[in-house]
Amino acid sequence: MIGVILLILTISAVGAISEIENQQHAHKIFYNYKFIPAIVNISDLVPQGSSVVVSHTHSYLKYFIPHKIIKIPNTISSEKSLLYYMVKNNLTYLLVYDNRHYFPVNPLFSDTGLKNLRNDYKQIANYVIDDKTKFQLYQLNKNWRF
Amino acid sequence: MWTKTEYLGLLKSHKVDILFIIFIISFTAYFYSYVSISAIPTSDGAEYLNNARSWLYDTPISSAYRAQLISWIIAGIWQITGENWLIIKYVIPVFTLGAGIILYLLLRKHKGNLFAFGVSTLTLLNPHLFFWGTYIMTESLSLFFIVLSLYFIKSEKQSHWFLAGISIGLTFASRYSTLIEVMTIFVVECIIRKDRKFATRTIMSATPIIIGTIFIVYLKVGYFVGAQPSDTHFTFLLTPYYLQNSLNIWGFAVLLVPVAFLFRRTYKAKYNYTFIAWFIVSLLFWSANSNPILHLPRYTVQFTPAVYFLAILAIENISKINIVRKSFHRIGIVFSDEVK
Repeated sequence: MIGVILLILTISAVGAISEIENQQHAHKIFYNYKFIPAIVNISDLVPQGSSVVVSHTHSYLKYFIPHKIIKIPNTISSEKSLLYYMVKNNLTYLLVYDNRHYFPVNPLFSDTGLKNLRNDYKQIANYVIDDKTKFQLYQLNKNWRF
Repeated sequence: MWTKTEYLGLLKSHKVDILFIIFIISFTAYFYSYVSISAIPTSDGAEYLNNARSWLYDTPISSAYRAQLISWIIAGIWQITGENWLIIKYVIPVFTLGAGIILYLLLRKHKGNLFAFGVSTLTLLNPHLFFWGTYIMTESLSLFFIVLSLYFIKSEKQSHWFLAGISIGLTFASRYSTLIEVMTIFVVECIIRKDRKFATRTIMSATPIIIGTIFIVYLKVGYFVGAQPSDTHFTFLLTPYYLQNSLNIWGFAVLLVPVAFLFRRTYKAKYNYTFIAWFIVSLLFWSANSNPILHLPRYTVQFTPAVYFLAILAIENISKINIVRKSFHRIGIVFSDEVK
């Protein structure tokens, strides 16, 4: 019996190592050492006491950003409505978290959408973590008033 | 002072135990090499860290539907060490190792050390258990408490039945859905034992823990939910996902599981009933979930020991067939029980 068990164990161990490597590859974002420093650097750019409007309220942002996180309301679907919302609520910082490992890109923050944002916002940080993950911090231009 | 003969005799009589200790030491080194290279927690892990922070600083909980025991453990550790997620990254995987060791101790007592060695090592080498066990996840924590409950439930000591109840309660607190698995184990054991004292003692200690867990969450959040509404749709039309992917999930050993069911010996030993029920009920439960997003290999972690128990049981049954013994004799292999 010991021989059979050891044989099965050896086969399982070999199979397990290759499957663990597959899992690692499928979740390679977990091994990306740029991720946390990028969030920390972004947090440092936002003054203490200011809130950060985020494109997604992901658990990572909630945990690693010490500022108050405000998720963009679901009703906002255009650049103008986002602008109105931020100016009305006296919010200055917008963090676009584009993580295609987890969720599809919001059209408002697609490459075209972001180009439109640049008229009213100034990009103050851009961190490319990998081919699917980006952090972009925008600051609303100061002359905006309704 | 021991003589050389006594020393060698001890080594000989405990050779499987020594082999298991060597395995655990090498496995721990390999396992923690994976723990150390992870750079960020999983998104679920970050939720548990957020919840822990909420308990620690008394702020509103961000995801109330998640089981809170892991966050209480994290908050408890942070009370001593200060808030640092890197400490937690190294602490939570200990439960994976703990589950493997308790499983060995449990099976060693009832099925022999070779059987225990086979089941425990196969369980720890399962790639999904290994991978998710290296993270801040409830998979390893709940597996630890299921195995601990099983250890106490299978014990003949009456004081252990009380501990079994506490462990059942903590299994619920570690991952709400695992209550189904641990209750299956408990109910089957009640039927096997037909001992009112066993049932009462276990229920008496499990109930306050389960009610207490619900009550603490209720006091903090104002309500209690065990899961997100989207995760609780069940259907009689079972998904074949787990059967289709069984080779990928459990490896070649899973091919032996149906073989175990072919032997009369499997049903003769009442000890096996718990593992059979644990396997069948868990497989049906996860296959009955109609949400395809929830068809994931990592949900099998909580009943992986039952799968490997049945696989090793099949090998044990095959090895007891006379014709197999004779064939092995012809090629010069003698089984260990025959040597005795």
